[in-house]
Amino acid sequence: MLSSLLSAISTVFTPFNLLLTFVGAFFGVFIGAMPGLTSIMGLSLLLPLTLTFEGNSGILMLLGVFCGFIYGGSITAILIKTPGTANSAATVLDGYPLAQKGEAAKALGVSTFASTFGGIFSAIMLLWTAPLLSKVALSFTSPEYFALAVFGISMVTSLSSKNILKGLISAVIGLMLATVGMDSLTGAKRFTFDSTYLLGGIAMVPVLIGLYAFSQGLSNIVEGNKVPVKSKEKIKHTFPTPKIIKKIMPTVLRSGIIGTVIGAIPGTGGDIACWTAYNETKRWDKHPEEFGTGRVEGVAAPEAANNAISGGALIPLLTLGIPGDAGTAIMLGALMMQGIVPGPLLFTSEQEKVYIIIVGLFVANIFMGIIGFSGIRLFAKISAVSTRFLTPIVFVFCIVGTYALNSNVNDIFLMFIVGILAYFLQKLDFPMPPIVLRLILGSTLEKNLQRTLILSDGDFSIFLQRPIALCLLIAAFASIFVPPVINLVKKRRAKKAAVAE
Amino acid sequence: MKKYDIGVSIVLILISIYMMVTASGYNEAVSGTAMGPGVWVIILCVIMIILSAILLLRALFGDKLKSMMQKKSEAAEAPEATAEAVPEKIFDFKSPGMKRLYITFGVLAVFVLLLELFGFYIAVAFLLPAIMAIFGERRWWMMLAVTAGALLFIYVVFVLFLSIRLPQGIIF
Repeated sequence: MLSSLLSAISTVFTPFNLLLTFVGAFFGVFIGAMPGLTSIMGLSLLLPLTLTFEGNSGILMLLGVFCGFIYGGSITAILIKTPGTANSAATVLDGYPLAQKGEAAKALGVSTFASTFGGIFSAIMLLWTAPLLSKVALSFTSPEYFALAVFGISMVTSLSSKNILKGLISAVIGLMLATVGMDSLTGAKRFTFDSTYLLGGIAMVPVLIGLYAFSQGLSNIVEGNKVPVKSKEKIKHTFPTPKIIKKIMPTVLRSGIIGTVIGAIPGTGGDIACWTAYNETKRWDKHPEEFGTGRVEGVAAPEAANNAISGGALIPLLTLGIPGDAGTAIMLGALMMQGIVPGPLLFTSEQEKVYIIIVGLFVANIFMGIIGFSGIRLFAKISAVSTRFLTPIVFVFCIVGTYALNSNVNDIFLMFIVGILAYFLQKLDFPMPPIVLRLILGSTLEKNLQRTLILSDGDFSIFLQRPIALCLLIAAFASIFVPPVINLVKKRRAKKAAVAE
Repeated sequence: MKKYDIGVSIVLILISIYMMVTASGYNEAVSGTAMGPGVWVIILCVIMIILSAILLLRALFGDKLKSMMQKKSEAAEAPEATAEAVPEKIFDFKSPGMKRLYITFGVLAVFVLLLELFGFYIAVAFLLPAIMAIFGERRWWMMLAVTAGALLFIYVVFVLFLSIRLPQGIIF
């Protein structure tokens, strides 16, 4: 373990890789700070770019983006009351009042410090827990993998959707898309309509960019031009004083733990983590009524928690191959395209890669802190760019990014079609994360089912004989069917109470 | 939402039936494996048809069920009832926003044509100012500056630095 850790460190600390991590983090903060751009959009736009670099470098760059964007959202949350990403929604509550009191620099300093600390904390947790978990997961074979994939995706479906039925439909759409192309086991052509373009399956990058970036651009167009509010704050010293650090330390630590744990649960994400951490901090505080008026703890808690997501979400990704949210799903896609298959085997076969990711996460968080402390003024200005310029530029990057990977013009057309469909589906409350997740995991799911059935001679009862697989499948069904039942019971009770009154 | 749900669920059911019929042919071609290439597709289609049918039934009869339950309990839930009563407008097809969207579709169609004929640079040099104009930008020098800046950036980063070949047209 130690030798692979050392060789991972030596890989990460080469000038080129450090530069790419830095560029990634910078780009991430940049995207995060722009209210019109979402993090997933940034990741999917950058994915083809990172794939042009040799294996490790591209992944390090993505890690930088992954960390940077979560932090970037807090800058606008504090300065102009518009969170750059949903992850920073809770930061607005105390950050903006602080800025109005003329203490914007203090708030930004605290958020940068808390974000950096939260991120590094979660990286340590990842380093500690991932090898342990992977040992448990090593006993898994195809039935367990199938059950695990079903479980992971059903968690994401039930947690990320307003409407579980529509979430499930989205998920099946993703799985259906994944069946297009050549069947990996038998070589049969499926739904290719005799076109060689579809033989290799529906390409992931165009779908991803269409779903997240292009559709967002279309919705910007429908909403029309938004001229962002410019912040008049003058920002000077941003690094928090030792006194403030001492004051926020317990909050940052607690929120770091909350963020890591929430991040490790598939289907959750930065938004849930930041609200949970904020509410917990408020509950533990002696003066909860002061929250919302500009408490530094109110800035530190959500920011530490949402950045701790990054390490937490990588735990199930690296050990089990299950992405926790749409962001990690893109990471999974990137890793698979680089020929790395996340899962317990990764820890035995390619231990170095695992440590490169973990060390990269450390470095990315440190860069994020440096960029934050030195460049806040720049980012505060950037956030004032109007959507009328942003949207066309995003369109062009969608096109270039899609084309860059395979140099195939058909990819661009596919991206347009997916983007337009996604725009309408989103409007109708069909969530996007299940589609992406199932598209990425679809073939793995099918392959493992095929292998399982070969193992059992086509007998489905094999799942009943495998305790771990059975438990996971039951948990998967529970995660989908329990929440609506609970809601129904609650409604009934409320009705009864209303009648009684 | 209701009429859209009905439409979407019917479309999904039709697609699933089509995929199921096609997929059942895949199994006949390959025999001897525990799970033919069509089995997985058929499983998915069955699930999809069930889910879409639930969506369809809910959209068709959901209101009736609700009103029946409300009559039974006699306690009308005020917030939910009013929420249902307001006519929902998810797509206001005549709104200025949607009109901008239609124009965008047109712009994209022209872009595709230009891309095929003249290649990437000219197509993008059309797309960028066109989208800006849709947003209401009228200052020509601003459009020119943004377009030139974006093209230069793409050329330096993608072509010079990453040596990616951008799409070329038939004519150029």
